[in-house]
Amino acid sequence: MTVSRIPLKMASVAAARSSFGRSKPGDLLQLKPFLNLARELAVLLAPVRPREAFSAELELGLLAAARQQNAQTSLHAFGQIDDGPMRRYDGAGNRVVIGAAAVGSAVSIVGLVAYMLHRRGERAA
Amino acid sequence: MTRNDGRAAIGTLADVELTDLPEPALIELAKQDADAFGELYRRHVDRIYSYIYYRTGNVADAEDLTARTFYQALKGLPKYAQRGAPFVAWLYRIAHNLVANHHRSRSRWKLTSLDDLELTGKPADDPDRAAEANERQHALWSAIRRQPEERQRLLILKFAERLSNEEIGSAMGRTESAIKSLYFRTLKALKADLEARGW
Repeated sequence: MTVSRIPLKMASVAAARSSFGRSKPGDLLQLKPFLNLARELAVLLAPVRPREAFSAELELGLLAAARQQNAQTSLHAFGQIDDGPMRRYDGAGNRVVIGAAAVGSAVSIVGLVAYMLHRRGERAA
Repeated sequence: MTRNDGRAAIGTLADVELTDLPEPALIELAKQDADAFGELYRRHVDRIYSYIYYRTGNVADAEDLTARTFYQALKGLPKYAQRGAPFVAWLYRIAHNLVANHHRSRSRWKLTSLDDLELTGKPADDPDRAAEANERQHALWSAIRRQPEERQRLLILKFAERLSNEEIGSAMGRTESAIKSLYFRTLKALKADLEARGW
């Protein structure tokens, strides 16, 4: 196992004690088993540190990724300024196409209904 | 470490040591500056690693998920908004979600063996006492693992991470008083569990 341990600080036990709030002297006897348990937990769950080689390697990878991400963000921001009018044009074009499609669909439905009414009138005659 | 890319927008910070910057300023800088993100990483990597290590129980998974936590943080940082909670609370949430997915993908909540987990404590001179101490730690670890997931999280954040109740609240999305209450219930449940097993 390659993890290293950080020396145990009793601060966590003090924190554990404060978590119970203020207690009367008579309650201390009842609290003692909990404080002992908290002390054992603090020993068992002592902080661990990653391997130094792992930390250093990850840092290098993250720095490279951060630089790449920043460069892409800058390029993207530049691109947005450049192709803004084209995007607006595309947006307007999309709205015209959708509107035309809606009108076309409505005309078809009206035509179909008119045809059916016409046929029904012919049959009745 | 000083920043070295000379970007004009953050030029006023050019001579400031990143290690001296308060966290909110460092976070804003890190959105545009790789070295500032590196400093954020160095400030928090030990805590995040320790948290994940106790949640997974082995070094390989802890290293893999720690790396993924920071890559995900880097990706999400431009959209990160400071709302009063410490930055590390956000990192813990990312780590928590990755650990949860990790356990889900393995279709089991792994009961980490204490043989995998290095135990603390100085070796006792007396072999009998050492064996007894080891047995107690095994029993305690097993009892922790029998607790619901949020109680395990709380114990790790409190003892392995040394966080205050307020900080734990930020990381777990609870109030400080809710954490105090959960902590007391957890200790009671642990004690009852251990006593039932003749601890």
